[in-house]
Amino acid sequence: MAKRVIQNTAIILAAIAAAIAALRVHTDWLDHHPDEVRTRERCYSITRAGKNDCATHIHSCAAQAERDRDPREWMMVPKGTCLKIAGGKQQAS
Amino acid sequence: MIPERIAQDLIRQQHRSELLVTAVQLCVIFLLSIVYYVAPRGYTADAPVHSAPLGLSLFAILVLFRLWFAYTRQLNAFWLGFSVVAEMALLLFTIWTYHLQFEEMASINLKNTHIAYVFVLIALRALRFEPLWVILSGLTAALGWSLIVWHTLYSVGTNIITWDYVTYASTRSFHPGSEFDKVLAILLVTFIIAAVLKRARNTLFKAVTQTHAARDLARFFDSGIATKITQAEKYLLAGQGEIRHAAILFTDLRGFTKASALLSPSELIAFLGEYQHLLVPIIQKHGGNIDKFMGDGILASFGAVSPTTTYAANALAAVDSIMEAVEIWSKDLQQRGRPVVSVGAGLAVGEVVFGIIGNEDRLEYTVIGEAVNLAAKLEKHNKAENVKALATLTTLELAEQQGYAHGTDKEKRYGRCVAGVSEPVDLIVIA
Repeated sequence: MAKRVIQNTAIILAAIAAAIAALRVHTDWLDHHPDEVRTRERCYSITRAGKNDCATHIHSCAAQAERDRDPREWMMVPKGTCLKIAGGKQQAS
Repeated sequence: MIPERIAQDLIRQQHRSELLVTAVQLCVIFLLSIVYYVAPRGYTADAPVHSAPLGLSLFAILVLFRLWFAYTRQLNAFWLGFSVVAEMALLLFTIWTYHLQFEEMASINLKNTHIAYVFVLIALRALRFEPLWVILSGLTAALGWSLIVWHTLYSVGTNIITWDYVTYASTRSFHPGSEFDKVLAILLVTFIIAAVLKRARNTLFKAVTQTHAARDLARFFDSGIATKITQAEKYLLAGQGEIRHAAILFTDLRGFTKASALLSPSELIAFLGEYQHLLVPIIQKHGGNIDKFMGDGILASFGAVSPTTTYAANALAAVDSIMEAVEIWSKDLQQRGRPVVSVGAGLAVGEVVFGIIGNEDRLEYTVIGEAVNLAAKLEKHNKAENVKALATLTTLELAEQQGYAHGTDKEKRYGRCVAGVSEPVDLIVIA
């Protein structure tokens, strides 16, 4: 029976570990950021129509910006470059 | 009160149900994972949460976790309850994360189509045939969805409430009627499935009990007759009968009376058991049906329970095999220092009536006819002829027509007077 208890404990610990790993990979809640976030940043107000990267509150995904330099649209740029671009903003406005 | 072995049977069924639930869930996870990896992403790579892979991986972990407990038969009420609540909570949690994934207002969660899987999870629980788990799953879902609704209003504010359906359907708004619909539907599905299960469970219970009863009773019947009884389309009554051309075999243990004086009751029954274990499989192998055991005698029929075109050949072949087997058995008995016995057999063919006799409460399938009487008399006549097995000449002729081929010619004895038979009978000596 002791063997079964050890097995159960191992299974429970493995499940918890796997759940933590899943949270770490698929969310930023455990302070883990994918390379995408560590090396790049969002830059608003600089995209050409149809060339935005992703979600805003009017559409869910890329290439749906309707006009150039929409202050709500953004694209990913290497970290530190956004504020060097004329009109580039780190927040939507 | 349920007998122990029937309870065991139900537990086995529950165990299989749990493995089935797990298999279905793993298949769905696998399918959705494929869809996820094939379909284009609708959100940015740097989104704070990737809902689909998060939900799928957590769900896979939970399912495998439960599979361990189910497979090792440790899935008690606590762990089952935990996993039922956890799987539903996980699904709703995944739905809740969608507004984070899309960096959107929480109100988009309300339009999430994954709510359909809520019903799948509730329905899957029905496979266990226990209303409790369906209800637990359904109540978790209703509570969870209410929390999502509450969170939406709490985080976005009540100014998004609208009673205009088109506004609701096309903007980020909140339609109280729609949310009421969803919770009501969840509860109704839950209680309908629970009610169906309650009824089905009674039927299942009866079915398991009756299957056991049938299996128990079938042991008292010949297998062919047991099938005939359980699969009868009409209610069986005494007086139903069919005319069949059949072969009837009577066997009897010689020297049994002498042996029985030397043996204790349980030794005697064990000895009889040895004899029946020897003969019954041989008879059945040749397509014969055991009509009844009468102490040390066996009445078997060929072609009566279900008609065949080779009944006489089958019966003769059976007698040949029986005689061979008994030869070996009696040598074996001699070596073991047990009383030596031999087997006498009488075989006849003819028209018999195969039918049900008895009264309403105690019925019996049996064979009745001239051939039955003759077989019994031939079995006794062995002694007068100083042989072991006799059959009528007609039997041999018919068997040969039916493809019976024997190594040696059978000795024929014509015009013999058999006690109890008025006309002289032509006989053959089988052994």
